[in-house]
Amino acid sequence: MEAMVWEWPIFIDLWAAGVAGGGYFAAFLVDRFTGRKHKLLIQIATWVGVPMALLGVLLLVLDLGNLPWFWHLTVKFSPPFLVFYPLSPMSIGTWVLAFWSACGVGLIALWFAEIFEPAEQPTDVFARVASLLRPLVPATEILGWITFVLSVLLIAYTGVLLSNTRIALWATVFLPALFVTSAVFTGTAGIRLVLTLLGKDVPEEFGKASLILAALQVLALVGFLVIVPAGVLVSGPLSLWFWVGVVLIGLLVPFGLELGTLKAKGTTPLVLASTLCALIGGLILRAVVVIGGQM
Amino acid sequence: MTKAMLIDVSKCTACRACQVACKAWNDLPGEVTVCLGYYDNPPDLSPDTWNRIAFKEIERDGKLAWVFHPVRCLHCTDASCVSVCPTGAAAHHGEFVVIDPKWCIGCGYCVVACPFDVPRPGHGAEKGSARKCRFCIDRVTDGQKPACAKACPTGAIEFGDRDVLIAKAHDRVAVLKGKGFADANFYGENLLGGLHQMYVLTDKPSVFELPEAPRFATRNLVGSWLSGILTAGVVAALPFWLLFKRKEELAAKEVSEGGEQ
Repeated sequence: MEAMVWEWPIFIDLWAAGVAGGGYFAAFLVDRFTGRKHKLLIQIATWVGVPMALLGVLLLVLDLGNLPWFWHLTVKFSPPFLVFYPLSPMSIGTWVLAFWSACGVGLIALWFAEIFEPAEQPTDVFARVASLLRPLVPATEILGWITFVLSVLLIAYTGVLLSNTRIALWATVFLPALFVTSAVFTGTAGIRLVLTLLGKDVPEEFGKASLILAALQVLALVGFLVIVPAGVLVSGPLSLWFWVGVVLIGLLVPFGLELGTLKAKGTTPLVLASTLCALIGGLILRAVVVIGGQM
Repeated sequence: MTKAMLIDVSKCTACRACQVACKAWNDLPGEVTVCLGYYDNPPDLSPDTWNRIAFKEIERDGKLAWVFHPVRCLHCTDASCVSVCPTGAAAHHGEFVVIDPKWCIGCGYCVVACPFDVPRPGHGAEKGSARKCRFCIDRVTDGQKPACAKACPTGAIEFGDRDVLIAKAHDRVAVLKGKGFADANFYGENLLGGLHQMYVLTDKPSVFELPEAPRFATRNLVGSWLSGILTAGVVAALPFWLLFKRKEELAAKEVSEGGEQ
C-alpha cells in the first residue's frame, strides 16, 4: 500500500459513533431496568450523542476523496433511487448513523414538546412548534426503542466496518466485540462525565458497572490480541501508544479510580479523572487499531 | 462464453510493452519516479498506473533466477471491492470488475478490502475515485483484445475464452514441471470463485507476492455482526441487568416482605 487510506477522521468517527451509541445504550438500559427512574440519563446521552454522531458523519464526509459526491451513499437517479448495499458495512453504517441521528433529533423534539407550556406564550415560535409536536409525544416510547436498537447496530458497525477487509489486524470477529465493549465503556464514561460536570447525582451503581465494563473490555482485548498478528501494537512502533494510552490510561487507571470511588466519599475528582481517562483511552484504542492495521 | 486473460510468467521478458500499452489506451499520464535500486518502475500501482511489471530475484535450485510478472487487478468472481462498495460504483460488468470513476466517492473501502491490494485512490481530473485496471472493457465489448494482451510480444499475456485458457494453463504447467520447474502452478482457476486474470507461475505464489488463499473481505460479515450484537447482549446483561435490575428487584422484594410483616 502506497499510503494510509484511513487516517484520523476515520478513527475519530469510530470513537465518536461508539461514545454516542454506547452512551444511549447504557442510559436506555439503566432507565428501563430501574422502572423509568433515569430519564435524565437518556436525555443527556441523546443531547451529547447526537452532536457526536453528526461530528462523525461530518468527518467521514470530509475524508472522502470525492467530497461533493457524498450523496452517492444514499440516493441515485434510477430506481429504486435509494442506495443500500446490505453486504457493505459502510452502506449499512451510513444508514444506521443517519437514522440514529434522526431518531435522536426526534426524541429531543418530543421531549421539548412534552415540557413546553404552549399556553404561556402562544405567539412564540417555540410554543407553536411544541403545539404541533405535542400529539406525537406518545411516540416517544417507540422512538426510544428504535433508537436503542439502532444504538446496538451503531456500536457494532464500528468494528464490523474494519473487520470486513483484508487487513490482518482488523479481519477478525473479535474486533466488533472489542469495539462494542469499548463503546459502552466510553459511552457510560461520557454520561457520567456530563452528569458530574452538571452537578447531578450519579447513580452509585455506575461505578461498579464501569469496573465490570473495563473487565469485559480487557477480556475482549486479550482475545483480539491472541487472534490477530498484533506485533505492531504490543511491541512495534505503536507499542508506547498501546501500552500507555490504551492499557494504562484507558483501562488500568479508570479501573483503579473506580475502585477508589467505591471506597471514598466526595469522589467528584475521581469520577472526572476516571471518565476522562476512559474516553481518551477509547480514542487511542481506535487510533492505534486504525493506523496500526495499515502499517 | 466467459472471457479471461492468462499470464504465463515463464514467457514474460519484462519488456513493459503491456505497461506502456495500458497507459496509452487508458490515457494515463507518465509518473516521475526515482531509482530505488531495483528495476521496478514505477515501484507500485497508482491511480495512473494500473498495470506494472514486478521484478524479483530468487534462488532456484541453488542458482539465482530473475522472475517477472505483470501486477494488476485479477477481476475476481467473488470480488471484495464489489462487495464492500457502499455506492455501487465498483460493480461486475459481465465477468469484469469496473469502478465507475464518476460514481465512486473515494471512501477507500475497496482499497483496504482487496485481497490483492490493487485499487488506488485517485487524484487529478478524477480526484479521489479509486482506480484500477478495467480489463479494457471498451475494447473487449468491441470484440478486441485488451491493450496489454495486444501489445505483448512474447505471448505471455493471452486473452480468450476462460475454459480454453484453463486447459492451456494446465498443459503449460505440465510442460514447465517437465522442464524442471518443480513448483510451477496455475493460479486463479478456483480462487475467489474464479479469477479472470490468471497466472501460470514458475514458482510458488508467495514468490510473486500473491496470497496462497486470498480472503474474500466479507466472508465473515454475518459473524462480525453477530459478534458485535452478541457482545452488546453480554454487556447489557452483565453490568446493567446485574447491577440495576437486580437491585430494583431486591428492593421491591424487601418492600413486599416488609409489608407482609
